[in-house]
Formats: sequence, C-alpha cells, structure tokens
Amino acid sequence: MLHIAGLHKSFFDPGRGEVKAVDGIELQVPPGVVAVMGANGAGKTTLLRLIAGLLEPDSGTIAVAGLDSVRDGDRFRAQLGYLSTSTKLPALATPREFLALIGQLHGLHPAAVAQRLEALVPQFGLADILDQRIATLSTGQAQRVNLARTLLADPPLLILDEPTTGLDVLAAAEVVTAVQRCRDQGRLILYCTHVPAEAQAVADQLLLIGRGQVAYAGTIADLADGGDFAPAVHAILRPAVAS
Amino acid sequence: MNPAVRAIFAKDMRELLRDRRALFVNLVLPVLLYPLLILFSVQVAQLSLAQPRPPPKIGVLATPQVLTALQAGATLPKPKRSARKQAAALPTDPTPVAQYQVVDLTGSSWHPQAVLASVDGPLTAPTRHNLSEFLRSHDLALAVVALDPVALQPAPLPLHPLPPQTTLVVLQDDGNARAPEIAPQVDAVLIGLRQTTLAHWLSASHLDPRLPEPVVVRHHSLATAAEAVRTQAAPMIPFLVLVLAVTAAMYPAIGLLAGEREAGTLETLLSLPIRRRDLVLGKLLVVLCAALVAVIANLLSLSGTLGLLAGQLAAVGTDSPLAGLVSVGAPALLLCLVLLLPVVVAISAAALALSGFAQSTKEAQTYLTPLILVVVFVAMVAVVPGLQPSLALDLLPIGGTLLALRQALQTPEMPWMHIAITTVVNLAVAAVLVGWTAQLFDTERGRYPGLVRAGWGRFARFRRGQSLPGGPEVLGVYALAVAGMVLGGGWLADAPAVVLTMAPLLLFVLLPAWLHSWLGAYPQAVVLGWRAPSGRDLLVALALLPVALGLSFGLGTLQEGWVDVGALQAAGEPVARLVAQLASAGGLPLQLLCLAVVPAICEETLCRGTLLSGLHKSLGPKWAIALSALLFALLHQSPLRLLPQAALGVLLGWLTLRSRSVWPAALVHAGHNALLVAAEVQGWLK
Ligand SMILES: Nc1ncnc2c1ncn2[C@@H]1O[C@H](COP(=O)(O)OP(=O)(O)OP(=O)(O)O)[C@@H](O)[C@H]1O
Ligand SMILES: [Mg+2]
Repeated sequence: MLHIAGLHKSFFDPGRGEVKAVDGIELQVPPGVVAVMGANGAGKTTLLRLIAGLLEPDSGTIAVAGLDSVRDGDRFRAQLGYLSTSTKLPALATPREFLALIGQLHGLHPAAVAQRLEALVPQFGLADILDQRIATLSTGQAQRVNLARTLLADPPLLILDEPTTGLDVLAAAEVVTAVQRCRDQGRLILYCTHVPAEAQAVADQLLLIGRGQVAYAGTIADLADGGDFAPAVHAILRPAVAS
Repeated sequence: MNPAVRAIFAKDMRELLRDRRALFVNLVLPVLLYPLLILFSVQVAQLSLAQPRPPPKIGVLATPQVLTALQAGATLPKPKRSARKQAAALPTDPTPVAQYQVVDLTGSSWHPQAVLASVDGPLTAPTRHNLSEFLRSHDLALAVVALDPVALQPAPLPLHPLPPQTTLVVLQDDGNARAPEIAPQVDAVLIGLRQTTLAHWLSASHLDPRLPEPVVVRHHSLATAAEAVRTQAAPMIPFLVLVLAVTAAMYPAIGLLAGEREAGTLETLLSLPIRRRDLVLGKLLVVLCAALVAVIANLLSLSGTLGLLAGQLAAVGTDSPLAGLVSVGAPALLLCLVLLLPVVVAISAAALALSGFAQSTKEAQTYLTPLILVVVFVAMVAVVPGLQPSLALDLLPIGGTLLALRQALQTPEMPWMHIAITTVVNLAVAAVLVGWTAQLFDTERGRYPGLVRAGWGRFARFRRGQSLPGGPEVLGVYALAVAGMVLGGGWLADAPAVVLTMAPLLLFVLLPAWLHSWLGAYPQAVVLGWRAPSGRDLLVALALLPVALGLSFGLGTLQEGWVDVGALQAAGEPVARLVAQLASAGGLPLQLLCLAVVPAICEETLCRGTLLSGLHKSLGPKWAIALSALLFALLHQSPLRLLPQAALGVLLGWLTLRSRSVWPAALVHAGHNALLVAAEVQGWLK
C-alpha cells in the first residue's frame, strides 16, 4: 500500500543550523489503521506532509498504489485525503458548498458527489449543519465536516495529523468514533496523535517516530502486552528525547 | 476553461462577494465617495471665487525722482501668463543713494500718496540680510530697488554720449507665499517703464515711437476652452484608470493567497489532486475581475457625477482637470481600459505572487506597498509634460503605454505604431509574470514560505543534507581563494595601494568563505566562526599577543641564519613601498585598516573559520590546526614568511578551537600586524 524508501528531509533553521526532520525512514505499510506518535518536533508532521506530496524529499521515494509522490503529482494526490491542524474550512461557505467544491476539484460529477454525501452525511452526523455557514459551526462539527471532506473521493490513503487537537473531550470522542467508522477494507489510515487512548481506540498498528527516525513499528498489542501501552512508548522515546 | 480553474474561480468569487465589509470598503465606498469628493471640491472652488483675496503689497525703494518716473511711466496691467520672471542680481558694489522712499504699490496703479516710509540717510551697501529684513518688516512680497542715481528724463538724439543706464533690482521674498503670483505683474510694469522711457526719448528726438518695434506679435488661441482643458486632462485619465485598477487588485490579491494561508485553508487546496497552477490561475482571474469591475464602476460613477455637475463646473471655470474629464468621451475611456488590460493582468499576477510569498496578510501588505509605489512611479512618466512616445519609452512597461494613450487622447491621430509596440511589450511582461505566478505552488518554497532546505539542497534537490561541510568541501573553497589571489593579483598589479591591499582580501578570501556558507545554508556561527567570544577568551587573546609577536619575530630572525639576507630585504621591499604609499594616502589609520584590520578579519574567516571547521570535522583537532596553519602560511605566497606565518597559524588555530569563535584569533592577528606596521613606520627593524 504505502512504500517509503530511504526518506530524508532536512530544514535549515537560522538558530539551529540543519534540522534533520526526517532522517532515513524505510517503511512498508499494508492497509489498516496506524497510529503515529512521537515527541514534539520528532518529525511526524514533516513525514505526513511528505507522504501527502506537500513537501518534497531531499532523497528517497514515497509510493502509494504504485504512484510516486513527486513524479506523479496530482495523480498521486488523488490517492489520499489529508487533514491537519492547518487544513481549516472556509468560514464563509456552507458545508454543502464546500463539499461540492471538493468534489469538483476531485473531478467528481455532481451526481456522484450527491451519492457519496448520502453515505457520509449520516456517518458523520452532518444532516443538520449542511446548510449552515461554517463560521457558525462548533470546532467539533467543523472537524467532522473536514473528515467527511477527506473521504469524499473515497481515497485509499487517509492522513490525519492530530485531528483532535483543540477539541473538547466529547468532540474528540466524536471524531474518534467517526474515524473508527471509516476503517475500511483496503484503506490505510495514518492517525497522528499525542493521546495514547485515542491511538488505542482507532489503531492496531503503531509507528513511533523519534528524532526523524522510526523508533518502533509494530502492533500496539505487542507493546501493551495486555495493559496500557503508554509506559512502553515512553520507554522507547525517552532516550531519543534525552540525547 | 479548465474545470479546476473554473471551480476555484467560482469559489473565490463567491467568497469575495460574501465578504460584505470588504465589498463595501473596496467597491461601494469609492463609488459613493467620488461624487461626494467632487461635490466638495466644487464647493471649495466656488467658495474661493466668492472671497477675493486682498492684493499683495509691493514696495519700491527708490529716489523720489525714480518714483515719479515710475508713476508717470507705468500702471499695473492685468497679469498675463506669458510674462517671464527675469533674473536680477544685486550689484556687488552699489552706489549709496541719498534717500529712499518706500511706496505701497497695492492696487492697480502707483499712488504717490501711498508712501509707507522714508529711509533716512543713505542706505549704503544693502545686503541680503538687511533687505530681507526690510521686506519682511513691511510685509512686502516684493520690492523694486533703484540702486543708481537715475536719469529717466528725455534725452534728444543723437544719444551721444548715451544717457546713463538705470539698474532696477527686483527683490523677491520667496518665503512669502504671494511672491510668485505678483512677480510677473511687476515685471510687466518694469517692461512698460522701459517702453515708455524709450518712447519719451524717441518723441523727444521727433521720432516715431513705433520705431523699435518693427515686428508686433499677437497671440490667438484657436482651441475652445473645453478642448484646451481636455488636452490638459488627457494624461490624467490613463493614470487614473491604472491607479484605480492597481488599488482595486490589491485587496483580493492579499486576501486570496496570504489571507487563505492565514485562515489555514490553503493546505487543503494544495493537498487536492488538481494541478497547483490551476489553483493560482483561478485566483488570478478573480483578482483581475475585481480590478476591472472596480475600475468600470469607479469610472461610471466619476463620469456620471461630472456630467451631472457640468453646469456647476462651468461656473467654477473650465480650466480645472475635473471639467476636462467630462469632455473625454466613453470611447477614450474604453481605449484606456483595453490597452491597460495587459498591464492590469501583469500587476495582478505580481501582486498575487507577492501575496503568495507572505505568511500573513500583514506581511503581504508590506510586500505590496513597494509594488504600488513602483507602479505609480513608473506611471508618472505619463504626466511629465512634453514627453513624447519614442521607441525607447515604448519598451518601458506601463510608462510607454500611458504615454501612447496620452498622445492618443490629446491628438486626433492615433499613434498606432507606439500602441502596437507597447502592447506587445505589455503582453510579454504579463505572460512572464503570469507564468511565474502560476508556478508559485509548484515549488516547496511557494507552498511553505519561510521553509529553507538545508545544505546545497537550496539549489539541488538530490543532495542529502549534511549538517556541516567536511574537509574536501572547504579545501575546494580554499583552492578557489588561492586561484583568485594568483589570477587577481596580476590583474590588480597597477592599482593604488588601498585597492591592492584590500581588494584581494575582500574579493578572494572573505567572499568565497561567506558565499560558501550562504550557498550551503550553513550556520555562519559555526562555519565562519562568526560568534561572539566570551570575555575570557578575549583576555586570553590579549595575553597571547606578545607570544605571537615573539614567534613571528623570533622565527623570522632565526631564519636569517640560513637565508640570504639580501633576498629577505628584497622581499620586504614591496611591503615597505605599500606602507609608504598608504601613509601618504591616509596616514596611520589607513595603514592599520589596510594592513591589520581587514587582513585579520578576512584571513581569519577563511583560515580559522571555513578551513579549520571543515578540517576539524574530517581530521580532528590536531591535524586540522596543523593543516590549516600550513594553508594559511601558503596563502601569503611568501617563502620567507612561511615559517613564522605557519607558527602563527598554529597559535591562532588553537585559540579558535578553544573559544569556538574567530574573533579572538582576529584580535591577535590584527594586533600582530598593527605592531609590524608600527615597527616598519618607526624604523624599529632597521
Ligand atoms: N519550515 C521549517 N523550517 C525549519 N524547521 C522546520 C520547519 N518545519 C519543521 N521544522 C523542524 O523540523 C522538526 C520536525 O518538525 P515536525 O513539525 O515534523 O514535528 P512534529 O513531530 O510534527 O511535532 P509536533 O508533535 O509538535 O507536531 C522540528 O524540529 C521543527 O522545528
Ligand atoms: Mg506535528
């Protein structure tokens, strides 16, 4: 599904010099839900932006369903839905207009969009808010619309970078439930979060990132060993943070 | 149209229209404001007509004799535009005059009873100072001074000897706001005086007073007042259209990219499977539409108001540019719009690109303000009086078009050739700018402004980032520096001493080191060693200064044991000459600058900054110090100084690694060189 080989990405920061945000990542990820965790500044967002085709690797390749992130440009991006803390919704539009626009930009026929909405509206509880200005929605409602947006074209890869940041407990739970519902045969969801409980709720696989490198890739169950997996995560990440 | 472009266009257009406040401020307000502003200015103009100002005061400083002549000879005529101001200078050595009278020449004739003051006693040597004092104390904008004993009486022919010439000096207080207004009137009076005096002389000689004027010139204006005004107003119209378009394009340009980035909605669009240039093009179309709609609405509002006000304007007088706008018809405006379209496209594209580089709307505003200034500045060409379209000016984007348009509006024939050339130029510029803007989001930098790739990745996308340059890389920089010194040295051989000493250091030593750190995006604090040292390290440096001098002198003297002293002196020869030349050019400070400060900074940056840090990374501290010291000594291309320089290099290298900054080493280096220069100057070495 997702193939990452020899991925490197550095930034230049005037204060710190070179920052190796992603430093040699190799991954083969089959469909499923993968929780991505790591300390602040570990390189998660950089990795996810690279996978979303928003950043370009310094070296290495990223392929989804046989398409290359740099070479195949928009055809590659057609394979994914991307949500992050900087993908907000236009305040002056309504969810219906916004989703119609996204459909149009995905090259979907309006009829296809309508058909897709029939499935998504009940799944994300959007029926009441579809014609309200987005500015008037609560953060949780807006995030559900945003999630529906990523799924509109039914992409095989879903990249969710901290989808519950800024949400209250209830709204976060709603988003988690919504993500749980869009687990699908053949779809890969990369779910980045700082909350272990959320990771455990949505994902079965875990990808731990420390200083731009893979610190752990495997099942949550193996780490948790029947109980809470947070201590194991801390144990893995602490040396990376300390050094 | 491409469906993605259309979808983006529709979305952004809808958002623009929904933003009521922006719509009001950018479209409704100007459209309403023009009628109000014009009404207001018409009212003000009428008000100023209704209350005539008191005439300005003019003074005459002259003997009663001259005053009488003036009174007899002249009355103030109606002011004429054509009257030129004549330059008059105060004679350096004026003859003292027994008595001056100050007369108020207010009004249309010279009233003898209007004597303001008499200056008692001779007013000798009127200076600039006491005259301006005089003018100001009497609130006079202007005074006529007769400095000679004047003879204006009729003299019969033959005028032999010639009657003495009379010098009249016009003193003008340009600090007085009304001076420029009355100067032409006074000139006219004095010309009248000249003519009447001449006429007196002629008639005293029984000659026809028309004798000196065989040719009489009269002016007639053929154009109607409206036509004249239209010609004056013509340059204003294209200018106005352009400025309206530019200002109207700014708001959407800022909002559509920087605004969208600020609101956090841009990343969504960038992650979608559309070509990113379609995204930019859709937005560009919106900016363009907004600019055109605003221009058309503004022009309609403007001309509508002026049409309605035409009657009132006639009362104000037809020589206002506002009135001229009324007489410019719709076809002319349409022509402006069509010809300026490529310009507006180019400006919109540039504005959008600049907005795309900004991370916030505020940042976008700071980028766009200079753009507006540049556009307005170039557009000013169209308002320069007398400038004609020419092939060279046609090549000037914006300016050329405005000039051609001005001519098209002022004269009956169209300057087709100029219009064609400027349009081609504008289209080319627009194409380049649109192309450049369209690829804005194709680069990572465009998608995430502020993002800088590390290492050479700034230029090449294939290089794996390395945090700091290694030995081979910095040796390359050193090789470049040496090549520059050798090649450039011959090239600079005949330059003056200042250039000869400083240019190679700045160009071939400092510049390669700095460029390398910049191109590689390396932290300069590490790679160049440009980091503030601790106070302790500076103290250590001061303590090492005697050691450095001792090493340098000691080894130098030791060498004399095995080296031919004659050769040594010959090698010292060019240095001594340089020192002497610098002394004559600027003394000790220049000598120290050229031979101590600049060499220390440049050489330390290259040898203890770039070289040492790179070698340190590859070879460890010992070898790095040794090799960098050797290379430092070789840089000086002087076999005789090789050993002392190398020893100095070891010391400085150690100091730099210890303090992690080149400045302590630079301090020792500069102090060492300064003392050598002082020794040379004082002849201590002899
Ligand atoms: N545009 C940039 N310029 C310079 N450095 C950057 C840039 N973007 C990210 N970085 C650096 O790259 C490193 C990784 O950042 P990234 O945002 O990927 O971390 P993260 O794991 O997502 O952190 P968080 O949990 O806080 O979201 C950080 O050290 C960050 O400072
Ligand atoms: Mg992040």
